[in-house]
Amino acid sequence: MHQLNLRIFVVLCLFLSSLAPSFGRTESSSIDSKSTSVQKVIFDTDFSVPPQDDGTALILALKSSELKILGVTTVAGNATVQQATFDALRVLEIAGRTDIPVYQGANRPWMHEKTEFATRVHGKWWSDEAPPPPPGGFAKKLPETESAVSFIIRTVEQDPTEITIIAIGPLTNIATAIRQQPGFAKKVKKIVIMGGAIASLPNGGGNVTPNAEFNFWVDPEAAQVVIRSGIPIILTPLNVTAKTDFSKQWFDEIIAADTPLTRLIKQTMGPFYEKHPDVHSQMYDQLTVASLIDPTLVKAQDLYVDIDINHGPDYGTSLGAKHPWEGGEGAVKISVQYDVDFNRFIEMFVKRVSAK
Amino acid sequence: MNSTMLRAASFALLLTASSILALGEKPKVIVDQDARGPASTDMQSILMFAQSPDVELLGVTIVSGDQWVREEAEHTLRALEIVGRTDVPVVEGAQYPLINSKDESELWEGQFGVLEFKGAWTPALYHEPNLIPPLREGEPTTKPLHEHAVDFIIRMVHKYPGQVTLWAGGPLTNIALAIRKDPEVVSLARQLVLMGGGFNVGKSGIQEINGRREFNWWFDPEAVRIVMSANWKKVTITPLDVSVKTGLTPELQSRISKTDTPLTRYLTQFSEPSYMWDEVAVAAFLDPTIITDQKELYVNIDIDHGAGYGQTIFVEKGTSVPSWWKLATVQFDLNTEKFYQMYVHLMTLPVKAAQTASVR
Amino acid sequence: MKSWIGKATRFAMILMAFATIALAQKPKVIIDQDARGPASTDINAILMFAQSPQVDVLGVTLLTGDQWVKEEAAHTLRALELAGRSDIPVMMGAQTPLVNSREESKLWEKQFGSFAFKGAWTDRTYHDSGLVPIMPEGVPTTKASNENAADFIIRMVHKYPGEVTLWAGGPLTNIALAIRLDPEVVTLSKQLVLMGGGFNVGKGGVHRINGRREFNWWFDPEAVRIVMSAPWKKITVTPVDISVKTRLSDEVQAKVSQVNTPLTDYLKKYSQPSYMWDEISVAAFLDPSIITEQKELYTNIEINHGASYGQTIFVEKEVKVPSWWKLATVQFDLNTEKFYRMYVELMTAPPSSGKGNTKTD
Repeated sequence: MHQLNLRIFVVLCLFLSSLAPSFGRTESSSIDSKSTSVQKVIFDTDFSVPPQDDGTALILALKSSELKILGVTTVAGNATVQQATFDALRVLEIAGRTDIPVYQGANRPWMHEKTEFATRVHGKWWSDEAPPPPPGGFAKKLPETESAVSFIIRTVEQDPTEITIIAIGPLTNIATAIRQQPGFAKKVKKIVIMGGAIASLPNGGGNVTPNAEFNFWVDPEAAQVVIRSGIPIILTPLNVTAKTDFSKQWFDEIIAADTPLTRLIKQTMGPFYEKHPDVHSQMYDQLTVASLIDPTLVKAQDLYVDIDINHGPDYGTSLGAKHPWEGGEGAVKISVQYDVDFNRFIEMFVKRVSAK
Repeated sequence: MNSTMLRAASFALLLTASSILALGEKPKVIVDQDARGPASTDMQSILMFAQSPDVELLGVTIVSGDQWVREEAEHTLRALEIVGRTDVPVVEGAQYPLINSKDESELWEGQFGVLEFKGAWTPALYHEPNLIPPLREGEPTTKPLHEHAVDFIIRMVHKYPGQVTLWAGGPLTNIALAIRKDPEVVSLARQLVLMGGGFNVGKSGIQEINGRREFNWWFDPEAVRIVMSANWKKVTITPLDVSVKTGLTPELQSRISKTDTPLTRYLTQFSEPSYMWDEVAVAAFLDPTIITDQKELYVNIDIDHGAGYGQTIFVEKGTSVPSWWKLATVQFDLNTEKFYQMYVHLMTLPVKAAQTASVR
Repeated sequence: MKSWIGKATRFAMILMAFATIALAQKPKVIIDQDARGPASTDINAILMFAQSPQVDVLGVTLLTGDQWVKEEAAHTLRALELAGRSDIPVMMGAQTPLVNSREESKLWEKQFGSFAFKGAWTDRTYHDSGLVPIMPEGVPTTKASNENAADFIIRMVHKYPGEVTLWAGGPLTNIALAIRLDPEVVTLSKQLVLMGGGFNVGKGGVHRINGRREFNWWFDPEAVRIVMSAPWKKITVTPVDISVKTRLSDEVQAKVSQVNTPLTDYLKKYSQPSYMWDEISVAAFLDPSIITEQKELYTNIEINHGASYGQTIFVEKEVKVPSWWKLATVQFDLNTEKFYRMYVELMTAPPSSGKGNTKTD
């Protein structure tokens, strides 16, 4: 080929490849570009051991050198806050990471009261019952005496614009910190949230009430406060988690490795897969953490998002649109994930969770 | 024609002319009522209009509220027979409010507390809507008009443009439906006069101490929102605040019992002591001087289905408000003696001899 | 001589014992306030407590409401200096309500009518939250504590279980945060006493004629819902209904001005005629006999963000209600003469009269 033709060919190739949609190119700000330096994070969770998704989400975070977990803060949601605290302590113990402190947080949402529906549908956020022993018994280490909110405020104040919050449970602790500490919101680097479901996008139905996702539904007022706080937000809603699929296939791969953590996973999830080998689950929290580690795994767009906090049929529903709408004047632009390269995600997840 | 005949003729002409003029001057009124019977504040207000020589009562349109519409119509027909006013058509209207419902009210009560009075939905009094319990005051022989209340209202305001006062003593369902069916009702009507709502009074709400949840307005809040946001030439409100300053006491009733007419007998037998909610609104219409304190306020209602559902909302004149808020003249105090005198006077007037229902 | 000393010593010891007992018996109070200054109903309430020998004021916790929390702190510190009570610690708390916001209030006003008063958000007087405008009463030399208001409340009720009265004269954000941070605050407190809410009164609301939208409760309705739904041992409410039966008239102020102290001087210069919203609540706490009419009612607030957002809701005691409704003792009328006398007495007492052994470490 002529040299000029070669040059033209190369330029054309480059040009064409730049047109192709690729994961990692987002329509949003650069807050989630792949970072090369270690991110300091606070891990806020309504934790339980696997099979609860928070369980393996924490394991993924522990096995990722991109993240430095400064502390785990617990909140009522999937489990009581007490169970969240003691399950987290136990998992950290099994992982050999008792250097990471656990701070107990809110034992209930701001406003949402216990209802008969809540006791039936999912979660223990309305209860203060004593926590069951985690697998293998309670960890030797106790939670810190400092409260979760206090830790969160202190950490962010001491290191402004450097701390990322991973929030994979109801947002009660975060909202309380915002309201208790003037100027707090401005000092948070960013927050990645597992929550919500945007009805106007595909897979936008709720998983607890018709339109509401569980984390937001448990504490809608807190969710609204956080969404509107001005903190840079990356949202992992049901729309994107619907494109994940955890099944026995991946479970088998994980437990093929033999580590203290995979042994825990085998213990807690094994019997379930024995009985129900064909069950598929979404990977809500795991994707949230993974997308922080490697933002190129997901596609995201900027949307105006708000939360309905009127105590009616849509209580806790997240709403999102490209433009503001009547009644939604309080909505705020945030980055919302809507697609995932599942193959790359699951490969990374399995590899890290089963790593020594 | 000689001069006497001429004089007689011109006198007759004058008489006719003046009577036509007089008839033309008598305000035309449609009474829209949730006419609980027998002899309630609702019925008494209808009877005040029926007895008054100073109004032309075009008809009584009925709406569910205190009772169901069908039984209310029967009670009204009977009452009008008793006072010899079978010329006044009785027209059945809405059986249910626009949105509110017995079921919703029960869900609401589960969250916010039991309501002491829910009209036709009150558990102790509840029966199926089409059931008409036997009338203690006697069954009527007349029948309601074969027309829906909403159509009757629309027809009348078109027939008498600018002349018809819509006087409402119950939930506003019929009127809301009328103005949604024909928006011209608002501009063709002369004015809207109503008993409803409450402002800053700690009595007589359907949870007693919350006067802002007044029964008529609570029963159909969406209707109130439609009606109170419309562009009436004038809106006059008789709220609970003034109602609770009155009382149909045994003493007052005994003043009526002194006279003996079919009406006074009916009242003596069936009236119960109570606030005179609707009677005040009629009296003030017939003689505005009985009102001693009133204010112009922007008045409307809360239609969010939460804790405030069905409560009156209001702001002062002079506040910057969007256009759906409308000014109303709200009555706050009255000359009770003058009012009682008027009430006794009207109720003790001789009843008319029975007339054939006129064709309208 | 010896016996004299002996007797004197013994007498002194008895006196000290009594003083200690008396001190131990003095009710402990935390004043949670949106302390607009200088010399408003808010500050007057703080001063009444500060001047009273009957109470042990553990501290003043502040929050945004009538003004921004930062400027309120400056005004409070200065007022306490003038009253000779710089021993009382001042803690700063919530800068904004839990959910309500200036932006939301503007959207709401577009639909439902503009407010006469929005505290720190009022357009006419609006300024940045960090700004402390010029203080005509002088700048304080003392400083606010580093401790956050909610943390202080939590610490105090644990330190003195069953003894601390939480007295609130402003929005309830701090108290709501405190009880969500530590639910034990509710059971460890002695009681909750507050000025707020309105029932059936046609004056004093943020839309004047709607007393049910009272400022403190409207500013943070979600906080009120949290606080009023909690199982306090006792709740006492001083609503607008009673506030409007009083007036800090020129006449009352003149009586205060008759005495000359740094405090009365301050009040003379900066007091304005007004309803005595918060002062009644303090007076009734110090002497319940000034209240001539009160009712036990289930009291709470509307938190749907529509036409009734921020309005008091209430039902009678006899009504069957779900468990989140709690009974409160609501004050409706008072002996105004007795009340004004108490106010004048407290304000004209020599500064530092209220000083006791306020240790809060």
